Amino acid sequence: MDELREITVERTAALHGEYPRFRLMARLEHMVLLISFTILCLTGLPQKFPFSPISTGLIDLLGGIETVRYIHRWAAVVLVLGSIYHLLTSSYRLFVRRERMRMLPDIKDAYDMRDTVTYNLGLTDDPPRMRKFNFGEKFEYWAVVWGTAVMIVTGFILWNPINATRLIPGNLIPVALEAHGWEAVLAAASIVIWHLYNVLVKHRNKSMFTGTLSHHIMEEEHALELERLERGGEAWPAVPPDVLRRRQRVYFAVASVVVVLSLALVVWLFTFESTAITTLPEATRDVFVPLATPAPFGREQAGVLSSRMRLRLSNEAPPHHIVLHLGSRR
Amino acid sequence: MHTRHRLYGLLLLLAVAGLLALAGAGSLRAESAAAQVAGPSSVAALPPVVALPAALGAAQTQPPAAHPPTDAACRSCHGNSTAVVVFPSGEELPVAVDLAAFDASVHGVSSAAETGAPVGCNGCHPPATYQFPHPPVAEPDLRAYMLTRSENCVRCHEPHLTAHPGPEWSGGYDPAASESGISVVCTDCHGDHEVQPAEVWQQPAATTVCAACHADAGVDLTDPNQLALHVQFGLFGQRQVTTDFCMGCHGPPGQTLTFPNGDEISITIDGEALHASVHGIGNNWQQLECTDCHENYNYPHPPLEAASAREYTIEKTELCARCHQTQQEGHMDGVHAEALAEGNLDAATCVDCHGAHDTPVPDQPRSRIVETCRNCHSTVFDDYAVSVHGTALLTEENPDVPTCIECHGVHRINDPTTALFRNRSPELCASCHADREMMTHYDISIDVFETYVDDFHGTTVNIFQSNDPNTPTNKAVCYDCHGIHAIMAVDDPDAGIKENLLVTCQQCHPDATANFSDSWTGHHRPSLRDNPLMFLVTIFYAIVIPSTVAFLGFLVGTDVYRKMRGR
Ligand code: HEM
Ligand code: HEM
Repeated sequence: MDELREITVERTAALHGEYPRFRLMARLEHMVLLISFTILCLTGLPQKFPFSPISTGLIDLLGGIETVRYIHRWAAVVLVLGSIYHLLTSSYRLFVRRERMRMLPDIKDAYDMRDTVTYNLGLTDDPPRMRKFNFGEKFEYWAVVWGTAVMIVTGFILWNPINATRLIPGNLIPVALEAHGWEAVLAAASIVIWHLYNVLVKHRNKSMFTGTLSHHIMEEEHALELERLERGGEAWPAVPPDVLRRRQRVYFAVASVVVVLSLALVVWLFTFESTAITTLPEATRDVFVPLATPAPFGREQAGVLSSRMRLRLSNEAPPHHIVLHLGSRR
Repeated sequence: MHTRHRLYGLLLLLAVAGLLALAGAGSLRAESAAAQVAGPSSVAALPPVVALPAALGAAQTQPPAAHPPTDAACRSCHGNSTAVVVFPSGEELPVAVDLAAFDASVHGVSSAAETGAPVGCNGCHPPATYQFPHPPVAEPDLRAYMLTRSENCVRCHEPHLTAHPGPEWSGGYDPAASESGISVVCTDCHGDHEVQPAEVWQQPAATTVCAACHADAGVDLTDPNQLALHVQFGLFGQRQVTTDFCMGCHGPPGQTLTFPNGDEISITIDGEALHASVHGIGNNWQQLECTDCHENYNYPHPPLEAASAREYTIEKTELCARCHQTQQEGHMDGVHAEALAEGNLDAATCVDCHGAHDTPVPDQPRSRIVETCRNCHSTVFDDYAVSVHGTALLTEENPDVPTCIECHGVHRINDPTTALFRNRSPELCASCHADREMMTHYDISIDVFETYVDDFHGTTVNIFQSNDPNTPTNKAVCYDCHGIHAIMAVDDPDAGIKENLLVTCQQCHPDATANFSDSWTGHHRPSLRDNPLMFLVTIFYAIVIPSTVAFLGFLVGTDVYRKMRGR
């Protein structure tokens, strides 16, 4: 299975004179992230800035604030599931395929960034030669990891304030809201300024959708990786089938337990408090309760009223009940 | 019409005087001499143009110049005649006139002072129709004769029969609509030859004439003791019924009116209160008369149409609308008019709040407003009365606290149970509670509104408000926590929201535990003192977001710079 997929990426790459970059599971993850994150921003940010006409327009377009919140929560569930999936695939590559953690930043990334800037400014003649994941991509990745963690934790608190406050002090709720809102602004700003610039403006980079990257971009952004692949290096190290099968058995056994547990956790987390509000039945009260003895002001009124009292008695009709609905707590 | 009558009278007098002069009978009597002398002065009083047709008119009614009748001629027979006129009906009328009494009457000798010459016989019995020998009477009976004769009076006098039935010329109303069915004419009250001066009619004793006639005709009088006023103001000088005329009956205590369904209401009007009311001396337009509202009211009154007292009250609200149109329009859009339209007769109309005749300035003192609403909404009042707003109003007439109308409106009273009202209510509270100037007096934070809007409930309600204010929302608005009418001081030991916060939260969040009630900003702006953690988070992002944006922007900028140089 796994080999088949790798072969496909590598074959397509070879066919188009491109180089393999992302396997299907990474591309799937990215797709899930892209969709859920976009929806979360579109449904979250208008709540953060409710007074801008863009926000009101967007909320209106999406069907009102209640619907917007509903969508936000479902997108959040997708994001959480995507994150679990990422943890599973990452651990698979770590424990089963024993791949190196090429996303971890090191000191070379700092030099690469410095060299990129000096090169861009024309202070040095050569651009830095970078590895499979350059400093910018690592920043992007860890920013998303950090951001998603913050968003999930604070989002969960906001979703379940009543149960959250069984464990944490109440004043953390507005703190969570504040953090959630500003982190969203930070994340959205970073994605737009940095990520979208890099993958849409700087180059039209389609590797997260096709899985492969052109020679030109590889040379500019991943010169060391390009060199390695051209020297005949494998895109992903192969594991002998019997070893792989043995490790997979252990992994799937553990992973299935983890999957079941975490899915249960997600279901539990997101259903035990379906809404923070329990709507009370409509309160009603009689508002027409005339005074038996009219208020001191207005002698004339007294006459009118007392005659009305008499009127009611003489007709023996039940008094009209005016029912006041105290708010509509649905 | 009446001026013309009067003119005619004058012209006739002139004509007679002229004729007498022409006939050379100037030496006959002192009176006619006086008339001659008076002639030119009367003419002088008229505009010259009118004088010409006057001569023409005189020419037209000129009788055949035989036996010109004069007072002297009349008096020679009528002073002591025992003759009678016999009507076709068989009734008889003695022709004798008490000359001494006539001379002493207002039409007698003394009338010369006012008219230039005594009215005398000819004044009322014009020579043109009183030739001698007299023609036979044209009227079939004595009453008809009296009616026709009375018509002479209006040649000189304004008719003032408003309160009585009478022939058309008299100003009275249609006898067919009257209780007795008969006409009342001038002579019925004033007599014929012994007419009294007006002052006599202002004496209470004069009303015995009324009482006697009413007894004869079998028509009840309202209150014989009040008749003098009645007569003095209702019958003299004025064509219209006046306030005093009405008060003749409506002044004395204990007057009641019974409706077909048995409702009995007082129809005694407190004249002093009416006078002191906004419609009385205080009215900046003019002091209103009864008839300004009760238009086209005659006495006796047309029969009641309303079946009950309440129906009558409701019917009469249109009277107010004639002047108070804007208020009426507002009222028609409000809950009370709506309830009435739905058939709830208890719904307040103008007079239920303002009073009918005793209409004080409705908001002076301010507590009058809440007392007014209290009449129907007593339990709501009881809640309000113990509230922070209510106590301040009721104990010290505080000018700032809201009364009922600040929140519910005046006249156009909106339904407070709608989603619209709910969604807009925070702004209603904010109209005072975000007013720095007002709130500093009471040492109340003006942050309450903005911190509410920044918090989850407020943001949501505001989103509803701006998107579709008619959407029902269950997010808390001010009054969900602070109370609707019984708004207590937040630190009130018994009912204050601070002591009872969890209970308050649990109204909507029944599962809430003690911690939960802290899960908001407590109407404080985050600071190192209040919500320090939230304050720090805000500071953190206030630093991190701009610096990240600046840093990434710098990186992107250098890349753009590189690209521009085509590297
Ligand atoms: C990167 C992903 C996310 C973004 C960009 C995002 C953005 C936002 C923003 C801007 C707000 C408005 C905050 C305010 O009013 O100040 C918000 C509210 C909220 N978010 Fe998120 N969010 C994300 C992920 C999540 C996740 C994962 C969850 C749940 C686990 C979540 C649950 C909530 C909840 C419960 C609210 C409060 C409004 C509501 O009741 O729907 N969010 N989000
Ligand atoms: C229109 C929207 C997007 C497009 C076209 C896009 C495209 C791409 C592409 C082509 C790559 C691979 C870059 C490379 O390594 O050569 C990538 C990577 C990545 N994307 Fe996106 N992306 C989009 C939105 C997002 C969003 C919304 C997120 C998350 C919030 C995201 C997170 C990532 C991450 C974490 C990576 C891996 C690190 C990196 O390569 O920068 N992307 N994306």
